[in-house]
Amino acid sequence: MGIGLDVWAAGLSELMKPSVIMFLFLGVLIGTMIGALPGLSATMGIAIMTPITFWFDPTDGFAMLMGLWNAAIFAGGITAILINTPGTPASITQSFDGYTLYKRGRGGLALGINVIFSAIGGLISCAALILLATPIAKFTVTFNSAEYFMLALFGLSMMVAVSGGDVLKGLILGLAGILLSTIGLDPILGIKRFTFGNVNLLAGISFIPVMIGMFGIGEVMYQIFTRNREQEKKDIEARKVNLELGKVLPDKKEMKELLPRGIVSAMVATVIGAIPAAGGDIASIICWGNAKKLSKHPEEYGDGSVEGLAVSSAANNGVIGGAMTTMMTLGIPGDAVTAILIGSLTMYGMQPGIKMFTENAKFTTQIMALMVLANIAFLILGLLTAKVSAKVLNVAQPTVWAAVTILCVVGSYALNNNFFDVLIMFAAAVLGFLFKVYHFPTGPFILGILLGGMLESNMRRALVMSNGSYATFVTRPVSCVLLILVLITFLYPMIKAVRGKKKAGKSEK
Amino acid sequence: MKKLKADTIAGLICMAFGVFFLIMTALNPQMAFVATTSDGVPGGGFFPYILSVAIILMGGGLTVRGIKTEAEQYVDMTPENKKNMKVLLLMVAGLVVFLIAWKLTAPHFGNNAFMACVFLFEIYLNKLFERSWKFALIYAVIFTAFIYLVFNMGFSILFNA
Repeated sequence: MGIGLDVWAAGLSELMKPSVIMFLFLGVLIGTMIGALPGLSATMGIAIMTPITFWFDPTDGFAMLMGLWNAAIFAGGITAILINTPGTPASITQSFDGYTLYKRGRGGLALGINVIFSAIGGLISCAALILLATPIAKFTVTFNSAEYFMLALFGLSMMVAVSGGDVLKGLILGLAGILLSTIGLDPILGIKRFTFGNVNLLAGISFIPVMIGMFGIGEVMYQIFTRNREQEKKDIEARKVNLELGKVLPDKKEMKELLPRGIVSAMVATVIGAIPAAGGDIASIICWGNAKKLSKHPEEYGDGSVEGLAVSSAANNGVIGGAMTTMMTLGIPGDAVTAILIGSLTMYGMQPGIKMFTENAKFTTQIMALMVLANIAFLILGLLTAKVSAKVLNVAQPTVWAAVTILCVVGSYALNNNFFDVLIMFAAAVLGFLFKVYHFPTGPFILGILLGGMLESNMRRALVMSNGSYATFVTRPVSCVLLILVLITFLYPMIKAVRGKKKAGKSEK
Repeated sequence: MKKLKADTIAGLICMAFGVFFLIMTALNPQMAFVATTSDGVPGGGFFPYILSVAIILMGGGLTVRGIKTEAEQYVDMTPENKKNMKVLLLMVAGLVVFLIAWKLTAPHFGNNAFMACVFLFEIYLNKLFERSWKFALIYAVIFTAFIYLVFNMGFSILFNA
């Protein structure tokens, strides 16, 4: 098994179609706007655009999604630099240095560094995806139900890690997600579960409408609820100020100094991205923090450091390739966007995992190549439009809210021409809003809904094959190693939290 | 100042969610804990039973935690938040009315009814978000045309619910 050169050649030749290039650039353009507008995230953009792409040829559709995703992450840095507001969570550290650079009249250079190092980060992570995906996929050939169950459990155990410090709430939502994934026909016995006589529920809860609701209208509802009119006025004033941007491209000496740190940052971010549910925000904070520790000029970090900005930019786009590797080889989402992409592939009749490298190998090569092309496309577009990108920011939040609300309704209906999906989307929107208000992390819920089916069907299948013996999960080496990892992931944060409380109690005494 | 008490209410809702699924599982004789067809193998009710019980227990834990941490609060209901809440509720109510109107009118008037609903809903949203009549009307016309051109003309999707 493995993707041969002939498959690559066949896949790449199909990408040379004008429609693919057109949709790729369209995706980059939409992604740049989405990323540059505070309040719109890459996840929201992908969630809204996914139903639209179902009406395209799969290659065209994925060209648009890949362009949008990669560009949205890079463009999040534009607002971070120009108005000190991260456009996406991944660009939080870019505001630490980028905005100071802008105020010092080096905004052009900051925007240029953002584009160049985001592309470098993206390309390095794409290289990792291309080089590592096939060996990992080969390794999974030996997996059977026991390993897939443990793999799903490992993915779910990460929900503890991404619970934002509140393990209990993360666990509750993760379990609730798995419970909701049991709605529909039983995967082994075919009996109806929690369908309440509704035929729409026989196939379970549609995942993409849930994502559209949570990250679309749910997010809009939260933004309306937390609207701060005084801050809005300040932001509008800040946008009116057009400081001198200066040069965009760094000189050779600067590039030589920045490149090694950018590459290391991208590599670290790729590894972080491959960890289920660890996103660009985590990667950029880790990379920025560590780069500061290792820097010759740590005092400049947070105060207009070009190096700090380069490291952050490389990190947030470096995550993408890692997340895609986990998604395509193991079927486990690296972040919220890859979770939607799993749903998207499923709707195209493809199953992430080993089959992506056998039955759908050509399409897999196309996805990988599209990732590379997306980085090149936003590099070109980003450098050409760096000085006019500030204009995108002049769109008011309510204008975006009104558009997103209708697009969510239209998009969720367009998936299957089914009004029931709109109702699911609406329910998910209300839930998503409540989760945010009551500080419940949405990550575990999404992982639960997405991986619940994989978890249950593989566990029960493994037990059928072992005549009900649970020993099958520890006697198989890979399954056993995964079980140990699961236990560590579950127990470590709990032990840490208990220790922290004990320490706090002692210090109070 | 009125405050939204968070974890206690959330914990109780989680418990209610778990209890609902536990009762539904217990009421369905096909959803047995152990499969009746093969010994020792989990049945269709295995996951629902375990998960709903776990959610009830954890929801209980969250409720207790909420009661214990008296000072815990998530949202200060400031005058601005109250205003935001009003806008939010009106937005959700508008969305519900929009969906009901679409569902009721589309079978009789087809796709045109949906487009009319979109147009009116966009005006409503823009007015709710404190935009001028002129802006709201122009926005609604452009946006409705966009939906019509992309989804109706481009993808041949008919919104006849």
